[in-house]
Amino acid sequence: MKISNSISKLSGVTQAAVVMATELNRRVLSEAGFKDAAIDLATTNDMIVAIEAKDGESIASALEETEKLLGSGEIQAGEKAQPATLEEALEIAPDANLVVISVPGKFAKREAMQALNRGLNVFLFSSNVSQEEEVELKALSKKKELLLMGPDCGTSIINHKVLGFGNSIREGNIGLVSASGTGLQEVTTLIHKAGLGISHAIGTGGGDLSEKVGGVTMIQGLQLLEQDVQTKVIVLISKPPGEATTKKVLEVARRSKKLIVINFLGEDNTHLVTGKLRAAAILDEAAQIACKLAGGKTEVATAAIPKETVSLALSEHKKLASGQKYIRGLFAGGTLCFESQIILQSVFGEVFSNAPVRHENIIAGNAASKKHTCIDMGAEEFVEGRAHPMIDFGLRKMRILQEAKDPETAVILIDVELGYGSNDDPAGQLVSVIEKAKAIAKDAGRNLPIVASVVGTEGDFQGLANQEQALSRAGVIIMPSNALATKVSAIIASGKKGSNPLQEF
Amino acid sequence: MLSTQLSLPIIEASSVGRIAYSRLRRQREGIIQGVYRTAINILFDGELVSLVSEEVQRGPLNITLKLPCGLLNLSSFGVKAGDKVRIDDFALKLGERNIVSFGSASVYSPNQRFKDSILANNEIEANVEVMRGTAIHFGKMAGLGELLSAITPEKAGDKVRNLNIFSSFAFPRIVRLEHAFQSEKESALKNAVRELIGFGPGLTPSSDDMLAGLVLVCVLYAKNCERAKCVSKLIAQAILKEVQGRTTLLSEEYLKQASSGRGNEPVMRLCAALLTEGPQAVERATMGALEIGETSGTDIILGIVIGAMLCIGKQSFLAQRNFNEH
Repeated sequence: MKISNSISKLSGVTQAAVVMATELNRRVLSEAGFKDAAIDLATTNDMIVAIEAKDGESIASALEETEKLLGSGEIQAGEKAQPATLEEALEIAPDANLVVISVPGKFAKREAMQALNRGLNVFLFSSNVSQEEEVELKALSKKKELLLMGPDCGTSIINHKVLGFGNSIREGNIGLVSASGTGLQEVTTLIHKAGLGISHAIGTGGGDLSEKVGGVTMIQGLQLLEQDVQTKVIVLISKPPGEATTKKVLEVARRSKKLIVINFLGEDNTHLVTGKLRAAAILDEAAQIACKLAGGKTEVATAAIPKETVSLALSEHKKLASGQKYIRGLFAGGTLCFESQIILQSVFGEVFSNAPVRHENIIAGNAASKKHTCIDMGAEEFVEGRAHPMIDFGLRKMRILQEAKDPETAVILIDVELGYGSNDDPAGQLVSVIEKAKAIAKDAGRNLPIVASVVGTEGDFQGLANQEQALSRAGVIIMPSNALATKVSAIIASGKKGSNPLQEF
Repeated sequence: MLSTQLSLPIIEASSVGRIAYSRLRRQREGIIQGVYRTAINILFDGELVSLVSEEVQRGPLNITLKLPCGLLNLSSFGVKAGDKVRIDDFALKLGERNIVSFGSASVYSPNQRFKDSILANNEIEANVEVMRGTAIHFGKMAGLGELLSAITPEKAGDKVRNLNIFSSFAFPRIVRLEHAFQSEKESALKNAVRELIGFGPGLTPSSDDMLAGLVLVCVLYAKNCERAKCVSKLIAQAILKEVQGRTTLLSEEYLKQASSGRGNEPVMRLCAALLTEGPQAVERATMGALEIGETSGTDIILGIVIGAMLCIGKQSFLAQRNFNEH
């Protein structure tokens, strides 16, 4: 179906149909003027590509495009299969020194061990690897002086090649090590938007900074960036690590000759500011400090909310009905959900979540929202049997409609991730549901503001400007970072500007 | 983007459809018929079984696989059409290396008897409107989905005049099917069904998806409701008689299953919600069904809308329009 539509839109093509060769389809094609002996000979499980075009050249290019589109989804008979073992992969690329592994969790250790024992660095995308296995794997990687990114590592950019989910980021002198995938995407895209770039962005996997694992990969990454001549400033990103692990990481960081920005989200990091260390409480602050240290001349776009946006937010507040009090954050990025909670807690105190900053504020992901709520739609309860919400918008769409029906919802806050691995057209997925959500609220006599940030760059294949414009046309208030989107949502819900550093409007 | 496609040593199945299970227990060898993003179709002595990713969900012919996080693409399995499949006890060996184990999988058997009783006709009609509205808003219209807007009075004229080639061809034939349903004549039903089977784009042609939705909701209604007419049985029989060799193998299998009151999980859930639950459940289930295939979900929903209206003794507005006007 997609193929028919794509081919029909090509220049010079007057009509096109890509259909299965059923009796009825053959008859209809014949009535439409497509007559050929090959059509008569085709059987029901064959596919017919029928193209009518102005000239032979247009037909040739349409056929070429059809073959390309058909090849992208299906492995044709006779086509060489993908490498199915590490040995086969190394036959194809014998000089490779890094292997990407994505196998079911129960086999991940075996595959990663094999790769490490062959002297290969590893990007381990697989999840469901036990902590004991992770400890064992990291001990081996440390012994062999190889980098093990993961398990459960979603994002890395090594030598400007994106592994897993990630964005098209300019080359530059800021290196990053992160235990958070979307955190890494947010900071690297903000650096790019500020006109600077990165050397490498090393993902560690979410469990690396636990006390048992002890930050092995973060420390290795830090040491590698220390040796890397291109890297001038290093940014470390994580949710709060264990006490002993924090100590270990900081010991290595303090010995570094480079400038280091520490962003342990949700922690009071101010005591860390000594010598070459700087501290950031939230992601966009980490990007701002890193850009400043790296010699950025232009201000990071996210430094403050423009006055006109503050006015817009205050006027949106005035349009709210009396019962509309609460922010409902629906996130694809777990770390962005965490960051928003930190900001909203500083304004409102209590924020509920399925992945809460404070354990006492936990609610089930599929439960109805309670007061201010931030839901991590990428949490395990939502992705079992489904693709990640950065790819599959189904559940988030339903939740948006659910929140639109709730008379207590003052504003819906969302994140949109572009780049490799993400949905081809996230705005296209969201626009119709946003329009419906606004219509539901309107029918109930309410105004429903929706605020979003788009994590991405112009280099991403979805196109940052296109995506932002499409959302903006649907009435979404677009902010350049998740932190600012959260702060704008807070102004809309409260009708007030903030007064502490996290609320700095 | 750097490929994340590496070896998949043993993949575990989380569920096996009852029909698939009985086919697997009867056979030793099969052959891969097609490899797609979310499905690998295997033929065992002419009978189909599909390996599917969990996003496709459970179905009578499906072996639903637990794939590693983020890797929901079966076209990266490393097998191709024509490769042999061997069944060894409770495992399938695909090509040379890949093994799918279904020893600990649960057997999925769609529940044809609803746990709640069938709603009153006016409540079902209200649910049909919720389903139709949701599908118009979120569905994909490149197949027959445009007809969803033409089956009620509002703006139907405009919609009917501007139909795409597939909808415009199918429109008068669906009207004839509705008339045949109401006439309760076996021969008229067979003729009407024959005029639709195998038409339209997609691996499961759009008209087949529409017919599958229509017959499934009719059969389920009949199984759960004393006031149902026996015409549901007639249309199921007409499809079973006419489907052979007129459409793709996959579509033929789906139509046979639907005529027996069996469908994939999202469609079964939608029928249950439509006939026994409230509008919120219907809206949720509609969103789930819309995710089937490219346009299949929307086309199936069109069939369910028409079928449900016929079950409660109403004709869709499509049938009341003069289809020559477009």
